[in-house]
Amino acid sequence: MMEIIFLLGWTGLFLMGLIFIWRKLLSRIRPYLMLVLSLVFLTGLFYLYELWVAGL
Amino acid sequence: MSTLNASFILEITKRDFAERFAGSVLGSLWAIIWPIVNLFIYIVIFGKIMGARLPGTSEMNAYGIYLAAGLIPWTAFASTVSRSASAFIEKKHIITKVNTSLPSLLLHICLSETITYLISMTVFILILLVQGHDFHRGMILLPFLYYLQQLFAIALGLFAAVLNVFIRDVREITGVTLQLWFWFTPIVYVAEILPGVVQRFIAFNPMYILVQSYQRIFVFNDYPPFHALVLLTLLTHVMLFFSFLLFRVLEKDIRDFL
Repeated sequence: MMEIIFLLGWTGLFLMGLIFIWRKLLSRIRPYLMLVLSLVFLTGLFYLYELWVAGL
Repeated sequence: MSTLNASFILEITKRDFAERFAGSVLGSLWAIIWPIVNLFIYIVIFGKIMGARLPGTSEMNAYGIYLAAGLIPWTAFASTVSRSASAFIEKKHIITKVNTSLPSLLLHICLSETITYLISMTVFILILLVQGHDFHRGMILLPFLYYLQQLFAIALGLFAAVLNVFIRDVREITGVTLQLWFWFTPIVYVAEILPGVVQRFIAFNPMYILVQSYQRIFVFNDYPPFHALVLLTLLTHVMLFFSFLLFRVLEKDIRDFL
């Protein structure tokens, strides 16, 4: 159950970041910021999830 | 420079899906029939009738599940890359008439392939449920694995699509590369049957990391290789950055050339 809460929370933060970038920032830098956000989201997810699994 | 338009992407995705089965009596039902037939071949023909066995497991259907777990993501990946390679050429009638964002033409391919992937995965999981398969908790990571896989496909697809505008051979090169890549990825065979040197070489194959993740979750009841996935995420985003940079530099030339 805690795994699902972690994944939903992490994905929620990512989606909020995406919406912010899409609505508030200039279209010229938008794709690059989305790329950085996506990189942080996925690396963070796999890294933190591994720590979580190791801790079980 | 034009921006991404969500309604435009949805509209061409719908049209793409409708065109695929246009004129047939069963229409979009074929999108469900095809995965069922394919999974029947993998699980029943290979697993039960031909009696193919997976080394190290006692389960009767293990090889069929192993095949399906690798082929479903591979098909989505390969179709996205190969269709993306010719996206700008095939949609030049739209590009020259409507001021649309070119990457959106790739996103609609990715979305269309996602629908096919979702149908196949749902049918696969339903078959496993009927068989009383023991699901691993790593299953909840499937959406994230798919997201990474399709980002990787878009990175390669965008690169090929840009080059294909200027060098038409790129489409054929993409097809040949994907065919070779398929056989260098342990999807229909297990990595352990390969010689040691080849096994070490295959460890650097990005698609092996993804396919192995699916196989671990579905067949070996294990978590995916997280460390390798972190490295693949870095590689994917670096590739996507350079593909997008190349596209931005050549965008005006692409529009002129078409």
